[in-house]
Amino acid sequence: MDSSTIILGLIALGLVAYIAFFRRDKLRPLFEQARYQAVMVLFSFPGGILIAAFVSEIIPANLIAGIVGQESGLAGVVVAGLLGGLIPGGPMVSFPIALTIWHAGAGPAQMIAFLTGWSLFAFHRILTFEFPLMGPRFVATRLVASLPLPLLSGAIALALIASGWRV
Amino acid sequence: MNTAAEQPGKPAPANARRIKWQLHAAIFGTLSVLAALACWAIAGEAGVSRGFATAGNQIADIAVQLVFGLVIAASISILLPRDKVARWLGADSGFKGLALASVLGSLMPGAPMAAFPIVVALGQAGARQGTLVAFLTGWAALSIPRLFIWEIPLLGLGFGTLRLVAGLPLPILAGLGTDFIYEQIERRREKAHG
Repeated sequence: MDSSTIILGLIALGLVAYIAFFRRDKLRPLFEQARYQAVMVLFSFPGGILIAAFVSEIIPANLIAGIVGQESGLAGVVVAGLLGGLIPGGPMVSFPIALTIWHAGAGPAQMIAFLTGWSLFAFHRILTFEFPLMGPRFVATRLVASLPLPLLSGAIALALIASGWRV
Repeated sequence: MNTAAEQPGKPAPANARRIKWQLHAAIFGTLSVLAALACWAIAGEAGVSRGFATAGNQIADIAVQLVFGLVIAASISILLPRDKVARWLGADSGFKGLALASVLGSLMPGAPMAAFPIVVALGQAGARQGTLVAFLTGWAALSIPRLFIWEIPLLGLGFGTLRLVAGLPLPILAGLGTDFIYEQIERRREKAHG
């Protein structure tokens, strides 16, 4: 049991205790609500993790490094954003890959696009949580609204670097 | 489709819940099998068993956090002052609502199992879709916790600050885009119904 689990547990305990003492009438609705949402993610949660684990066995990290180096400029930013969007899993999966391409010569702007793409389009997370809880229309809208963002963050980084920002 | 986010206040009736449950099981069962087949085709049996092992560990670790996260989010949902949320993040909160949602989202810890139920709670309490997207984008892309836990330690302070500055506009832009899209949908719906 690691520290974030303990912290979450303490927060949960504190909140339940507060409601039990000060809002007793809300205690049952609390557990009903939690159980309702648990049912919603019951299958998507292990399913999403399984899918991410299989896909991450297939992705060739080394090939990627050649395409998103510092000289690749805006094109590299675009590619990096798309690639990031394909990375399944949490930071435990994405940061080893990010580090690999970072040490293999990816530029900082391309890295930013990569991380932005990964963080926004994490399809495993969409499958596991967002789609079941928020519905297809919300997901589709957020994705459309988010499409330009990896490119935008990479482009801003390129501009900042060009005007002298040292990493 | 009536999801948790679109149904104000109450859980769906038992029938609707049971049907969705089976649909989820079918979809994720199929996708998992497809992913396993793809993995087997490319990475062989070794790849598949590695995949299972990795997934098994992750599921065990995360399941406990998921339970806590659900309890936390349900508690927050119960305790949220609905009228205040509707005022701060609702349909009329405009740009300030987007900015507030972005800041709140970016401060939330990274666990999706806590963040998404909270988003659902905000939606039920009256926040509009644009602010929900700004919140999620702040949480996903701007993530101050991730900045300090992963990016600065692994990639350096210079990179971290660049990433932060380059990412600042993203949640608000995503929120504005979402507002725009929903406005267009509303407009089309009004035209269609006269």
